[in-house]
Amino acid sequence: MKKFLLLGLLWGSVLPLAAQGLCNVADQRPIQLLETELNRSFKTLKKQKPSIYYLAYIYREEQDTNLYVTEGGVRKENHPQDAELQVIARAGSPKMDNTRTLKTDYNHGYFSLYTMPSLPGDGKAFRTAVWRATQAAAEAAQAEYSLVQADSVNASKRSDNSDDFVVPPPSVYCREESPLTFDEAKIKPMLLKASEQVQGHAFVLDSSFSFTVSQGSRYFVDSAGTRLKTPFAYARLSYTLLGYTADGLELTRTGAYDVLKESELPSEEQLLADVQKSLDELQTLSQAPEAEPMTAPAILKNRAMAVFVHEVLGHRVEGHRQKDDDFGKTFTDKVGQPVVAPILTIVDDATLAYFDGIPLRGFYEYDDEGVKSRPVTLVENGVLKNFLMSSSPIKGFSQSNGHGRASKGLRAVARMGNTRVIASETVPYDELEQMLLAEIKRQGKPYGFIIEDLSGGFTQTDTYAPQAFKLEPTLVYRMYPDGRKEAVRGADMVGTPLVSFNKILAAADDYAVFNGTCGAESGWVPVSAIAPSVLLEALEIEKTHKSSYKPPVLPPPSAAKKGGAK
Amino acid sequence: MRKIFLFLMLFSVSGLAAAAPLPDNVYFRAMKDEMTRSLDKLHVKNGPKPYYIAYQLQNEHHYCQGASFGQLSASSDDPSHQLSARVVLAAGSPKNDSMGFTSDEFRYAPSALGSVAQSYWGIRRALWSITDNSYLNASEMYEKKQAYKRQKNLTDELPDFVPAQQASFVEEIPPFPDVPREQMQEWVQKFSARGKDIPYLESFSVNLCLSQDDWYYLNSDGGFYQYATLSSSAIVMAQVRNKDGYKIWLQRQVSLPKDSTQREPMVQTLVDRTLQEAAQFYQATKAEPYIGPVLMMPEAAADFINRLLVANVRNVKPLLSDEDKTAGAFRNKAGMRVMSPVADVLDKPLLREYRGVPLWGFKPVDDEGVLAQDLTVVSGGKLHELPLSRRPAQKGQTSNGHAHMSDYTLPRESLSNVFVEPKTPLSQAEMEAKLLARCRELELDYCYILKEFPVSASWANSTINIAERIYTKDGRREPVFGLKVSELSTRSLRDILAAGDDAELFDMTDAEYRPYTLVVPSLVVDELELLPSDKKADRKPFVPKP
Repeated sequence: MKKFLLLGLLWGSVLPLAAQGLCNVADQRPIQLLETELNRSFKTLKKQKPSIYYLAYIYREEQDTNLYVTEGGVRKENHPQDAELQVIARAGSPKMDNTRTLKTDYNHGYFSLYTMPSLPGDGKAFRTAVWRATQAAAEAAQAEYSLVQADSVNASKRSDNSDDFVVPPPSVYCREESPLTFDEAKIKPMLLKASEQVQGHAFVLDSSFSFTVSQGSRYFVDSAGTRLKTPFAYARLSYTLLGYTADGLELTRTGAYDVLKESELPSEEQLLADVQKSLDELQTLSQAPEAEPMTAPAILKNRAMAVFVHEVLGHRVEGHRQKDDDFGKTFTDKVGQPVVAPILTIVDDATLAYFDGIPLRGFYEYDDEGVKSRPVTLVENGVLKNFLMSSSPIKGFSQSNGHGRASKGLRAVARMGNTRVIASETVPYDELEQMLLAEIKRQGKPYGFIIEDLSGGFTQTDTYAPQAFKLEPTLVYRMYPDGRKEAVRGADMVGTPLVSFNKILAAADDYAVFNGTCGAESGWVPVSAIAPSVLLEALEIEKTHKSSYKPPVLPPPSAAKKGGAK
Repeated sequence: MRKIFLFLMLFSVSGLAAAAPLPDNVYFRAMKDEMTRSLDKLHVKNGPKPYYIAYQLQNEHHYCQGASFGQLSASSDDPSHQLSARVVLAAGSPKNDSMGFTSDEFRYAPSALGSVAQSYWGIRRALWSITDNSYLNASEMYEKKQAYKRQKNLTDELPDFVPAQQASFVEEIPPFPDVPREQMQEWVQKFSARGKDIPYLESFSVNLCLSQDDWYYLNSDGGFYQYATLSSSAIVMAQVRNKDGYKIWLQRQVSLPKDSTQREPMVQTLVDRTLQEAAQFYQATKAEPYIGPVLMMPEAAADFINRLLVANVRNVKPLLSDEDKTAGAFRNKAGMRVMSPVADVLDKPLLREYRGVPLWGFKPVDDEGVLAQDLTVVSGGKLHELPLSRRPAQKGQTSNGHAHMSDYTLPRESLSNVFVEPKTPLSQAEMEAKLLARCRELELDYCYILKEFPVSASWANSTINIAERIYTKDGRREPVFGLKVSELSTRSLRDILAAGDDAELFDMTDAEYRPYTLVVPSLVVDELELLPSDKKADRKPFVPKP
């Protein structure tokens, strides 16, 4: 099956790691009930054939706020609450268990999610639901293990014969946070007003303005003795403007504000000004010339570079991709060897809650396998040092380093948290542009590129696909030798990892954060990447895919509302 | 005070010639303005022009509360409100238009948008988006349809779309009522707690839901409607493992009356019945092959009638294609004997309530702007009247106001509130006596009382979980589980021997998710072939229930 690793602009913000709120895990009612059921079940389950040798419960209580508006009207407004249980059962033994990749199927890592009854009372309803979920998970794990056993009869020799699992060391931790509170009566009118700003602009095909909050607590109980309660919170005010050109090209401008409290929200004036800037950019793009395929020197602006590192390098140093023979293993045998330009050091540090005052979405205290997060130096001065590890060991790396992550209902694999690029030598950004001009002239190119913004992209890591990436910039400028800048539309960045990273000539001192959501086989997880702007000796640009459908015949109705159709 | 207006107006070829005033609200203003603009300006060079547009806006309000084993679900939400929009656009001319044709690329469904902003410009933008999309599709469909007709040498003289007197139905839309959260919580906790100490119940939950759909419709021939439909329901779900280790889900549902004081006893009855059936399943023995008469209790009879009759009396005008599998099998059987004469089948789209329960099929004006007419679908066993739309299947055929659409189909013929009305309704005791008499006549040791009937032939829905054997010798009853219906055909409709006086109401949706109501009593059917299900026993729990 083809696997694309996607990074989307689903922005959010992260609760800061506060010293406050430590609690006693043994006092937590969900922990008590989960522990009771785990103890009762596990002693029987581990004696079964095949044995359930590891059992874990992840219970999440979540409260959300969703407000979506368009053109002065509310599309959706609600405050759902959920409490869901996921049961992880491993059958067999750590050497070979039910999670092993089958010859014919990679994705057998789905779990059922159980909506849970509330906690008050004797807890019997809650425990019965846990019991039922445990039975189903154990049965499923045993069935999967039998498939793995049958599959192993005809499986070719694995190049990495490491165990399937290393039982995580027991951890006990408890932290609580006060719920985030926002005055929605104030936010709603501001969003409604901003949403009316698209009126009078025929080039805006669609628009959406939203305020969302997702917060709650995660409880983790496993048969190794781990007992955790950790809070999570994300809040975001954002907007998306969509355009469409006559030749079928989709254009997007977005804005987002990650906040943790009311005072961090943008003022109405700021929001309206930002929306206006995005409208101006969308209009510019809708009239801009189309990009031509070309290789030329380029600047990747800081946030674009952050996405570049995430896609091109980050996914390829995820531990499980060094293990299964289905993966391209670009970096598997390159530990100790230079893999990127020597001015760069790359660290993934999920313990960072903020960078430069900006909350980081990739922050977490314990991963989804109950392992404490810690900083991992992936690349030091250009030399590959380490991989991101979940609890699935690989040759030479036997322990998790706290990067086992998954979205609800999926099995954790190694994923990024906060990926940070550190340049040993930097120049002011203006100087980087001067260096770009010099490089354009040196190479005799008609122009170079400045990649201002990226919405995301994907990278392919399977053996049967080219080990290539494609990133989707949303705002690209051509820079001419005389210093003139011109927006172009429909430009995609393409390349291969080993070549691309060695084309970095210089870095600026303008570190910036990209907060996003990354999609891969273990689902969508919140991530951050921090990087400076860099100068690339060469960047390959190709044309973006265009739709073959005609744009709308008539302009949007509200285009005539202010100043007539444009 | 609620105001109701019901108007008829003369058909008008173009424009919004309204004999009755359109409601003055944001929904109708937006629909009217966007419709006017589209009819005036929406046209591409060399393409067919749109000649007919209809908009439907649906404002859905919904709230549910559930509990399991006496504890409220930890998941909850505010009442949800969502506005969605649909458009029907025909391009070309009434004689030869873009509709009534399907191809692999296009579903025969309206362009729709599921989350529309509640403002004049928000609604306009949504309508613009789906109208534009619909027009581009219609232009392409028009060309493909003409090509298909040429390819198949079709020279049909029937017009595609015929005039019909346009009607309106307008009623003030009440606000979604205040949700009685505390009462709902109390009931679901109380009733779900009844399963708490029953060892064979692995899960037992009770859910109560309140819904209101506000409908706004306007077409370019002048038909329009505005009204709200209310509904409330109780759903009981039980996961049961029987003594032999077989595991099933029992799900039972009832539509509740508007009068809230009558709701609690109905929920209680439903819970009692589900618990009784769960207890029967626990004790039940596995079924054996059987050919003979059966008594279907109303819930089983509803799925039986739905599958064999209602599903075959819809989509009367087949779509132009090599084979329209969605067209009802009885579409060209008017006047033929399709059912036993023991009961007539009527369709009553103008009926709003039955025994105080709001009906899903209430549809005073259809989705082509035509006043709905009551139909005698089956009389004396013969297929009498079919639902008809403005798209005639035969020369001279006119609409009887039964064109209905959903997100999954453009307006096509379907039923609304279907009543199976016995000529001589029998009491429960008489129905059982009738069944036993027939069994004795056939020299059978026992026959079956079915409490469920498979909703489809698909594997997932093909099993009857719970039934009862009734012995001819002494009338003794014995629960059995795991039956499949073999070789089912519409022949079984003609095998109905008797119908009871115990009609119950069931809210349903058809294959295209168009809502309708079925009111059906228990039925004795002369012959069904039943086979034991192939399902194997499930593994027993590793550890006992807490």
